[in-house]
Amino acid sequence: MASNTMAQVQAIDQPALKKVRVRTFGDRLRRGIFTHAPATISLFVIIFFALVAIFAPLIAPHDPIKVDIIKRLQPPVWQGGLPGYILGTDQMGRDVLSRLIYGTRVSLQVGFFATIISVVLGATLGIIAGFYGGRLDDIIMRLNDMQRAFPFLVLAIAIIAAVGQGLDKLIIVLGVFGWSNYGRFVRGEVLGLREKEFVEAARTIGASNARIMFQHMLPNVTSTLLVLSSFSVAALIIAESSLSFLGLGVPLPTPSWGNMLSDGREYMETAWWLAIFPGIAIGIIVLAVNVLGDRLRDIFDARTTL
Amino acid sequence: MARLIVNRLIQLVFVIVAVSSLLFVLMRASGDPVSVLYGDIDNETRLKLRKELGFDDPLIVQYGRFWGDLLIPKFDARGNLRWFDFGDSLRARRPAMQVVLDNLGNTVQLALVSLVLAVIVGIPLGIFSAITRGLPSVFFMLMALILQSTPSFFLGIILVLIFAVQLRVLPPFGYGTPAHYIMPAICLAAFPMARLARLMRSALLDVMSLDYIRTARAKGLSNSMVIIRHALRNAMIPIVTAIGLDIAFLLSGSVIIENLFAWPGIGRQLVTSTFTRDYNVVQSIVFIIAIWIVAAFLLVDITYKWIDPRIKYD
Repeated sequence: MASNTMAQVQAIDQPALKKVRVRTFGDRLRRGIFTHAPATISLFVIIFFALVAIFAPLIAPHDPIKVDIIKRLQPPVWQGGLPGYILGTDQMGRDVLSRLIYGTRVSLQVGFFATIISVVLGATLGIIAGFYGGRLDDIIMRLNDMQRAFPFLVLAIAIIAAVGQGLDKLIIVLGVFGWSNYGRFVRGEVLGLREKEFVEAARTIGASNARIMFQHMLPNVTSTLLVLSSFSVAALIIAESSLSFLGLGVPLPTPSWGNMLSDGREYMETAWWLAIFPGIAIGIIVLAVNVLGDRLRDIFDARTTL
Repeated sequence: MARLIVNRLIQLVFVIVAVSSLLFVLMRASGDPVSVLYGDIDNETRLKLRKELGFDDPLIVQYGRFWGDLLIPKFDARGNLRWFDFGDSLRARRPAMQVVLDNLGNTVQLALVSLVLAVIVGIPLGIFSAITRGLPSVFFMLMALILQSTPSFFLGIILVLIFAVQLRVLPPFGYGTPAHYIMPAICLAAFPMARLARLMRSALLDVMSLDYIRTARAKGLSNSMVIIRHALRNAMIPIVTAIGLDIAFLLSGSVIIENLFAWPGIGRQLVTSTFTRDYNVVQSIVFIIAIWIVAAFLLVDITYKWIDPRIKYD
């Protein structure tokens, strides 16, 4: 058996060895993204949106919630609208571009912070369930099953019906109810890791349970968590815009892409620009996040050669 | 098999107990339902209504009554049998479950039309893209990726702009004729369709690289024979799960679409009842959706066993 492995190692010729240059996690990540044009573009698109969100007050040409009825429903500039209002104005004379820019904040905040809540909650409960097993595992996994059997959006609507609207509430509700995938995945991995030698070794040198769980096991699942969370950012951005579209997301007058779309629907016959621009914005960011997520999955898949 | 069904039923009970209880507490914890429902009424009427509707009792009594009404069949004052009763719709003044069941049919119809559309378009496109190389298959996969990233309501708005506002060939919203189904069904089907196409393609490609396919080829079978008889059967396993999940979550997807197209189903009702705080209707809809989803999961379990007899549940 052992000699067989040795023979295989020696059988690897020099050129093949050269190909395996990617060594560290970061190396593989960088190389994987930057040798793949769609992923690179997506990364820059995401960075662009993030910068827009952070510097919204500096970039936006107008106040996004300032009503000016005289200037209402002006088309985009290239269709003969008012100069200075590049993408036109809405039914209350507010600048569409400025609202779009501020709307980025809502979408990205929900996508980012709710994902963090989900990952932290899911990973913690998953590790605990997998590590301790027994009764605790049963309870956590029952809870998990239960939640996976119930649509996220319906649950969110029902809870928002009860607790009321608000960006913070939205983030918490979407975040807390997003833990189930992470929990399930992490538990499965931890069950496998529990029997590994390095865990045994850590225990021998006297590491506490918490230390073993979070210092030794967690790093083994971070790459997959990253992939899972990239897809959930996309799903959450859509969930937020859906809820805002239904009028259950962020309360007015805070601009969000979802409630802009919902306003736009009313003026579809006369003012197409109200609905189209926020829709395109959602489409672009979600597409970018999905493409990057797909690529990350390939990168962390050991079978993919980069 | 019996075990399978029992397990899913236990799951169903857990889901319903947990979700109903959560909603029960949250809804009663957040303000006086009577003032929300009836708006500006004088204090005396408000207190009388509270008493009449039972909101004055301690929470635990209300909770007990909630489960009692739900589980124990009985006849009401009008002589109707009340079972699985979530109380009256505070708005319609009729049993909430009845109000919901009236609309359920519309939602299920739309969901089934969308499902069929997603399957008969998505799966062939996925197979096509897996077995051919070249521009069409790249194009289809790109389209699928874009569709998957487009929120259904945005797709809906674009369709309305084109077919109802510009071309005036389809009704922009409403319910009634077959033409009314076209746009809502496409919007609802878009995401599952795109996902099925992508999944079908990758599942088939994975299977095609396995040894037994090479063996089948080596036996001299034609390419189409290899794909139909050997590859597809195994590639279908992940697809069945995906279709099951699609069935399960079509009802929730239709919440958005029904609101966009003013479709008279339970999705639109859910949002309306949320706004009017018609708790009992919300509870009834949640109950129906939980049953639907668990039934869909059970369907997946059973189909699995049928496609792949090696699978054992214990």
